[in-house]
Amino acid sequence: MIPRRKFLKGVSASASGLVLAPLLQRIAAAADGTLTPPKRVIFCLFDNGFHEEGVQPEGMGVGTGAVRQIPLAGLKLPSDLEPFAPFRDRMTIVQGLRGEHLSPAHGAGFGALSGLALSKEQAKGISIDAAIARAIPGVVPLLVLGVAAGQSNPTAFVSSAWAGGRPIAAQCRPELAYESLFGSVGAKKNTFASRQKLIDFMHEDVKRLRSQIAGPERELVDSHVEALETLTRREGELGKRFASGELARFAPQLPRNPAEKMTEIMAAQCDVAAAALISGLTNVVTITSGLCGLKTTYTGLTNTGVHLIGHGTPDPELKLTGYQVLSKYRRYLAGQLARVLHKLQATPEGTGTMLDNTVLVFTSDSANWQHSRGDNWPFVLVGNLGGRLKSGQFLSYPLASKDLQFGAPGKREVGVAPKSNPTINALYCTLLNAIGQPHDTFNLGGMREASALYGPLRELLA
Amino acid sequence: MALLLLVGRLGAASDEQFVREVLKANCVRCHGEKKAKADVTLHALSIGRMQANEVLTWKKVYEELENGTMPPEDEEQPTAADRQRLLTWIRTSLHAAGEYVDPFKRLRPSRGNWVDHDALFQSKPGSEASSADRVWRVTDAAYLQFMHRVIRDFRIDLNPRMIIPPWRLEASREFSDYSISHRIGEAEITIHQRNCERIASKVVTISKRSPRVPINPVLLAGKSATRAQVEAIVKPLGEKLLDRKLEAAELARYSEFLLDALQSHEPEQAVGQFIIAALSHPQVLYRVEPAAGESRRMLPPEHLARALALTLTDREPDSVLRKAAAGGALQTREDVRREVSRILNDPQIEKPRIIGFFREYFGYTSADEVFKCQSTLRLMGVPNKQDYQPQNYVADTDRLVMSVLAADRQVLRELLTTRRTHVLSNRLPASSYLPERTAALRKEAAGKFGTEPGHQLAFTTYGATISAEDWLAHRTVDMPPDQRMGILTHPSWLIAFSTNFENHAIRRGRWIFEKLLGGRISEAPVTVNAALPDEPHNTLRERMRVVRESHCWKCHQRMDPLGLPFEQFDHIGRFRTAEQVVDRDATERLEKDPRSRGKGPVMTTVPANISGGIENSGDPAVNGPVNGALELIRKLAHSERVEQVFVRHVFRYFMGRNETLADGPTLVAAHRAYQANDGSMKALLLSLQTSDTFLYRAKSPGGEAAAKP
Repeated sequence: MIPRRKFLKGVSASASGLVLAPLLQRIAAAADGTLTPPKRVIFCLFDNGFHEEGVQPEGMGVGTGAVRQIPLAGLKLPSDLEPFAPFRDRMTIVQGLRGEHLSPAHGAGFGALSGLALSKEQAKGISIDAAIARAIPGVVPLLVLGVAAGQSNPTAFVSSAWAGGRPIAAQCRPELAYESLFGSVGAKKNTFASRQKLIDFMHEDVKRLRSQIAGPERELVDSHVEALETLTRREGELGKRFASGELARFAPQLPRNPAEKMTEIMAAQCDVAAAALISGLTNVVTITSGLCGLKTTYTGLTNTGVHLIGHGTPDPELKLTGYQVLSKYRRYLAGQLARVLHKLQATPEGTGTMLDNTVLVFTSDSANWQHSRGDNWPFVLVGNLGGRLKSGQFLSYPLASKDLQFGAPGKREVGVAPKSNPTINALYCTLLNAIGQPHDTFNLGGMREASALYGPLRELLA
Repeated sequence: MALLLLVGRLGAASDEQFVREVLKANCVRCHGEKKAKADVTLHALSIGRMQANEVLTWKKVYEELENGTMPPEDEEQPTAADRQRLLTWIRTSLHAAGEYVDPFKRLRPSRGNWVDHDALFQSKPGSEASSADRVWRVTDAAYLQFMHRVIRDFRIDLNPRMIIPPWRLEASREFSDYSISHRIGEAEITIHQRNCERIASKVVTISKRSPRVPINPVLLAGKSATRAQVEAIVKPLGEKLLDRKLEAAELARYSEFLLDALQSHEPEQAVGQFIIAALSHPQVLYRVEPAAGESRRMLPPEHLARALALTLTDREPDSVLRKAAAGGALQTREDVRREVSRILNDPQIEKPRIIGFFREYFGYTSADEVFKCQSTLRLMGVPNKQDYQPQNYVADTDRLVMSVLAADRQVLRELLTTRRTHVLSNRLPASSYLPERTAALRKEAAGKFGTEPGHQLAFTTYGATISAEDWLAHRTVDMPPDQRMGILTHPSWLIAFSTNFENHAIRRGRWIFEKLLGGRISEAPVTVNAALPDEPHNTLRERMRVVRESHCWKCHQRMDPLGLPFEQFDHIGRFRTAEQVVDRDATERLEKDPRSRGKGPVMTTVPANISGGIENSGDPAVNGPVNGALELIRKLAHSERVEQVFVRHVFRYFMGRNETLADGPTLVAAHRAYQANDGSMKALLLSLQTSDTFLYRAKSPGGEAAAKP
């Protein structure tokens, strides 16, 4: 890591005569103690479940009669999580949360981040990433990136929403995500400024259309108008940053050919995510590998279909069971995300680094296995949001343990949480509290939950 | 008098006071301190900030009020305005508490059947029907066709595959594309802009060589280009891009935009900006159906032409239709009849929306999406996964629908009861070009027919074999008469309504109840954990006992007896008389045996129970018990009510909205046309497309108020 003083000195020398870019202003202000650095949250959801053996520290059984809180310091992380080992002092493994109300078999869809029932395919309410983005918005309030190898759609509405019926698109093509944030590769023209003028022109067109319609479809045109207004603000801000050269400075290097394999797409999306966070364009990023419903291949790791892999079916080429391939898959994702965390750690902010104010939420949209009923939903948090989250611990709520035989031969140990355990909504509520938004519940109102289960998780919130 | 006073007082009251008064006047007598009918009490609800533990109750109140099921029919009702005000208050409060209530719920396809069937079909003809003014996002196919047309018209060197559709319609259990279904948001706008940028730079380049577009003087003049020079390129370019005449106001606006762009951009970029602006006209993204005046009026010809073309062909109007619209020959019902007949009867004009309707209505296309894993298939006696190819069954059903449509007689009854089927129809070699080469291909294919993966399983599944000659000649074969009839016994439909491991009797029953009988099923309550017990030693019917509990059975009794007769098929679509379940004792013995290497479950069979029945269908002639799917289907196929429900669904798909009571006369006329023409789909569509509902638009009363939370 570069010491903050040296970093600032280097920057001011190279930037002499230039107006300090917003990022540098922020660093300088934070160094002076005049600015609180923003909090940042990264969500990564993946398909086929977060298997217990990929979560539990080695040698530790799943079952527990009482809440367990054990320091991670003396424990060996499972292979899936090894890439996070350098961050173990600011990491928390959470076992025993419930999500049966989300029917997560084959992916809980919008339910995974909203915690709302019956929302596999339709956004029924705000998702946690959007709720956090609303509280700490950047130029792009929420950047949703999809990893969907083998799918042709450039966008997909799968995980996040501003409200019921207002889903947010995941950008599935890294090069398009790149272009919308940093402009065309090597472009000299300020396309953001041109686009802003065009959007203003379209805005007039669509407003005129709106005036012709009185029926309920008018509300749809309203959201078209709103989208144009958001875009014109965004393009305007990006235009300014393009002109100052700031965007070019932070733009990541994308591969020459468009990423096709799952591994390539994940790596490229992580590069885009890191650059967007470090440049201050956004404070909240969501990456969904498999689009919350098994919609990707695992190319780059295996040629066997994701569905079969989730069933444990062996990969004949790799000579590994499906579950072993899944472990490699999670390890690969963790490795890419660890790269993002290292980049944040290498970027000074205030008296520390950007990583100090960040948390990564790593979980599956399918709870603990492909056909999960949601009776155990493992999470890994890396980062402590400026000390707002207790970390460096393995935390498990009470869990019964049973052997599960599914698809391929062989059994694995899975956890079954009693009804008295908190739901994943409580974890999301905890995150809201940690970023300074006190809430008693997050989207839990419609459920018949004991009021004792409301409020943030005491074991997590500092 | 007291009521008048109450109404007067409520009008001016604060929302909270109003809610309290309405609950007091209409609800708490049965749901209060003294009585708690259905265990619901409303007297102590906090009115103000909604408490988390009360959200569920408020949602229930909202649903009952919106459905009109509360207060009960024989009790005094709140006025329509009060009901609306209460609904709006509850919805807003639920939103504030983080609970989403869909303001368009009643307009969604899932609510189509909520309009009373008998009331609709007892409508008298003659009332003046119309639809509300609206916009409707064009489909991805129509969008692509428009952009590809631009590429063709300008002859630009751009691979059409570089144009990415900003949205794609996803298959769903309900009709996927109502006018209320889809919005255009940031992601869609951004992708559309990228597409336009790709086209614009090429159009500028090619226009420099075009004698018809005097672009070069503007490029040379740059910032000093005159308005006349700018208009001279805006008009031909704009009209060619949008494929229509520009109005004077549009010409002025685009010219102004280009003049402005020339001040801040290089000239070529500025012209490019204008091209993007023109291609972003709402017409490219929406089908617009305005109400021209205060009273009901026929759609203006240019909008009518688009509505007709997009409804039937999912494309912009063809040259004949455009000419008719421009030349004053699309102004009367007769004009429309002429054009619709022309399109329906011309086999050269593709009409993907018609097969699209049947695909979405029957839902058989999702057979390909229901995953069956290798070990499940192995347990069912299919050792090689590559033998299981559900996409072939979907293609066969598609072809059957097309052949029934070609004959166009008793379309619904034929689809429900025909014993004919195509087999492996999509494995046929192409026959439309290069006859010599195709002949060789066909000979080669005939040699392989029946030997390739999946062929034998398909024959077994249909219970029919087909000769290579019949197959090559696109002939159909008969399915065994005691086993199958119509689409509902096709493997495609059966698999589409199955899970990864077994039949889905509930969804099959629900399909019949909703799509053939016009019944209503509410969404499962959020507190229901919809899962059957994990008992592989029991049949599906036995495991479905859990839904017989009183609060589940209320809805399930309408669906399940309609789906269970289909237990005569397994979940990959094969006919069966016995059902496989796990033999618990034998499996346990095997697992304890140290010599045995295989640890898989041991299966045994039990006779398939295929009993079921129809109750409260709305058609007394079909009510009663049935034994097996064929008896059930036969009854349904001859029911007039089923035919009417089919007509309602055709209306919804092609109008892009649910019917209301005001559409009754249109539905009655459409059904009559269908009956009078021997069950002709063409006659049905012609009747709908020439109805007042399709042709006339009126300003939507209070539409906005209904939509806003």
